[in-house]
Amino acid sequence: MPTLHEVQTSMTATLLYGGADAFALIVEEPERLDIYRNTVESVLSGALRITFPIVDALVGAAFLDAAGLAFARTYPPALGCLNDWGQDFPAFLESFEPAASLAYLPDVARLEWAIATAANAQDVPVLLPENATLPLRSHPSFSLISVQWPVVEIRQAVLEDDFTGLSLTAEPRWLVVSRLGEDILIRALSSEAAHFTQSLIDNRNQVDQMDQDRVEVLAQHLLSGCFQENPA
Amino acid sequence: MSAVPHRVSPIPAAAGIGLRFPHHRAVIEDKPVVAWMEVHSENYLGGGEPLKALEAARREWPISLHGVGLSLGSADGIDLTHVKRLKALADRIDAGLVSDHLSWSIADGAYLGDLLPLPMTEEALDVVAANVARFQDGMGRRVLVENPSSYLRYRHSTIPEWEFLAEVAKRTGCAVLLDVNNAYVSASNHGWDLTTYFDSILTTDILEIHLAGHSVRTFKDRQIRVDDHASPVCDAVWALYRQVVDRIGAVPTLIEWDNDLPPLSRLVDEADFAQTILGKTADADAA
Repeated sequence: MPTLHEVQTSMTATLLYGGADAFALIVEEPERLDIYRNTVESVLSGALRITFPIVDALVGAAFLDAAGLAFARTYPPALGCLNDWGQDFPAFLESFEPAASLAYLPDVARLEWAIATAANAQDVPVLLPENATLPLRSHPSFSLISVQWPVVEIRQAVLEDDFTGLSLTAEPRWLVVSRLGEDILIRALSSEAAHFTQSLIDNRNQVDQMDQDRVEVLAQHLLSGCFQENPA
Repeated sequence: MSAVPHRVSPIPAAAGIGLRFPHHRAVIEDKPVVAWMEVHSENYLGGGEPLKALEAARREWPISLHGVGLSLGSADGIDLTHVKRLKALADRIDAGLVSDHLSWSIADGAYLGDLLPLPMTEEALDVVAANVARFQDGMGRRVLVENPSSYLRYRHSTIPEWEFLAEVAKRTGCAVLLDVNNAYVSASNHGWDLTTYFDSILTTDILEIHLAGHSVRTFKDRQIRVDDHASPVCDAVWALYRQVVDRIGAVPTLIEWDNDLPPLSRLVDEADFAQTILGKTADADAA
């Protein structure tokens, strides 16, 4: 008699990876497993569709289903909260051969993961400017991402279904994503501001290095909910 | 987390509806006349807009948390961090009931996103009982475990599903969430005798009932009932529901509808119909 763990390993091999391992375990014909396999595939790709709606719109349902299944087989969700799943999807897309001609796609996914992170972050109190003291701790909704493609403009074009004037030029770009109340804020940073921001997050910044430009960057971060309240 | 101010806490023995994201706005604006609501716990483990909407609903209705992600049947055990997150949510909204399923979804570090059938064996019974006990310990409360719908059976199963679930309840002290549609779907697919099924299940402490729609599909020239929550409750399930409430009295009853979601008013109509059945039972009890 197979152990429970053996059954679950065989079922996983069949339902997620397409193997025949579970066929011998069941009373009914193997096709009956397709009911579950269809649900597994549709739930997992559906979760990615919710987290990466712009990628979905750019590539279409069939492509996302295929990419989603390949991703799930490589980086399956570990736990039963699918809002937490997808962090590795941008890097996966970089090596996903069918997406090779869409060089901007991984960067679009990076922006969408940052947006999802902001939307799903815990309701931790935001550090108010008047209470700001070092060290600063990033808010759970905060992301600083580096991209090459104009992903904000691509996202806007998809949302408005208007690609007029969209120029796909690759160059270094930095974006900060955060949540203030229920609003998701996306802001572009200069390279200098991005490196300064990273030093703040890494707690490497010295107060005496705060020139006027940096003070303004920090002020914008504070006003955008990028940091969490310090413990009392 | 601080608890949201609210009006009432327990789930009443009346009809409620499942609250899904597309109905958030309609629920808050229209304030439908239903006794309570239930949400899928894992959709609200973060913060932001979803949690704000849930808290707004909580100010109007008692809320039950129905989990789909804990994997109570996993041989590897359950994730206690997940339980902590569930407890924080339950505390925050003062959840009236907390439930999950007699199924598994996680193996070898992969969550499969479906409620998969368990082999009904002594080993699986030990595993589920241990996991339910950990779940209850972590939540600091009694939980409900729901009977699943299933489309296949394992060759080495030795315990009928209804006896398996009753034994889990006996060993752990958990309550049962009886999904009448699931019982009907599984019994139809496997040729089970529903009288035997209910005679066993109804000996447990049933604190909630689920009602939902299912579809009929053909596999290998055989009709299979699939629990897709995408249609109204069918007549056969309504008839079974009447029998159940005649035997055990009024129990909190939920209309579940997850796919091809209709307008909110359609769910409320289904809940109203369930309420007429519950109302008749309550009237009979009062007499």
